[in-house]
Amino acid sequence: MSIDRLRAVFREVFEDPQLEISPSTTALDVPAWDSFNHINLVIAIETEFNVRFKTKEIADMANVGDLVTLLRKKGTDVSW
Amino acid sequence: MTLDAATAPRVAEAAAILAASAPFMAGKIEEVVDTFGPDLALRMDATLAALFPERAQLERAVLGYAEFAVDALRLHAVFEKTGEYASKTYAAAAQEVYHSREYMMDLYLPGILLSHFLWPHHYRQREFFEAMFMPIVRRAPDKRFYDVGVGTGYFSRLMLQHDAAAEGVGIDISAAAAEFTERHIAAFGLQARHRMELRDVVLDTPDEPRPFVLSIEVLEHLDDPVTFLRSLRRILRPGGKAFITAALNAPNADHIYLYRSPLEVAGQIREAGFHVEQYQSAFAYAPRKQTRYIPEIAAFIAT
Repeated sequence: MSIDRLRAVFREVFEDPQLEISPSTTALDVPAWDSFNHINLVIAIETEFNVRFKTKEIADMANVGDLVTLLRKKGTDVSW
Repeated sequence: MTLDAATAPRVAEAAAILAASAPFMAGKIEEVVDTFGPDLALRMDATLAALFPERAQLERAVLGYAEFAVDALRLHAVFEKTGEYASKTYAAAAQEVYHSREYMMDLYLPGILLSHFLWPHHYRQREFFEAMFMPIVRRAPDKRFYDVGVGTGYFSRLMLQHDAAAEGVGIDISAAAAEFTERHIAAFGLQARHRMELRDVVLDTPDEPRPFVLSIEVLEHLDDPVTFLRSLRRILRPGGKAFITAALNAPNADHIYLYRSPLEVAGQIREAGFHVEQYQSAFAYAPRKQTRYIPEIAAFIAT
């Protein structure tokens, strides 16, 4: 599976249809990515990929690469 | 007002724990202190110091709150799309939540207790209670009360703290809630005027009516709130006052009955035989973007 589904979630949560993501993308790169939207993003990803993150996992996500790694660990086939 | 570690050290410690363990909630405690001022910080500090005196206890409580809040947000995200609570019976919720000691003690009860300070609609519910209900209690010659669905014991404790002649019975179906409440009341040295009873007030209604009845955010947990309200009416002495609240548009692991407006709750309270004297409702937050539902609490004083 390509990254398209994940990118679509980011674009919906941050209400930016042009938003691009890469493994090194962090909250600092996305103006709307504050703590409130971080949890909204996590919940939207959980819903889209039918996974569940632990609070510690949510806390430890430093960038999009970490997120993809975590999704893969949970059995989701996401690749760049 | 910025959070001051000198005057509210336990709150400052909780804020640091939250920022370290759940960075996506960093600043949440400082935000509510800024909104509601030193009164909130002092109240919360006293509660944390009494109930979670050890660092490890405070960490567990803060983490429990974070899990509780994230669970609520998860469910709300689904609720935004479906407009309905996940289908569940009272019996299933009781089994999954109220009779699960681990879930209750580690997550649910600490989560609810901290939400009384960190969720604006919960804080405003307490403000309404103290501003409008407690003066009625203070004027009454007989200040005995039932607190039905006592949960953490927070409102029982407020009754006992604010009136030295108040004397209460907490009622709950959950042994964990009873244990937590007993610990809570004892931590404030109020145990001589309060006792817990494990019972279902619908199936096993107390015989002796009392002049005051509290029931804080219980209705939304039930299949049939009107039957429950009729039981509350039976245990309220004629002329007595009840403080009854409900959560609206607020999905949670054990929320079954979906209230969409305060008037819907008021209608049920009246249907059960009460006369509604006053009410207040408060929203959890101002919407940041287009949203269909905002969690809300409606609180009623009824006779």
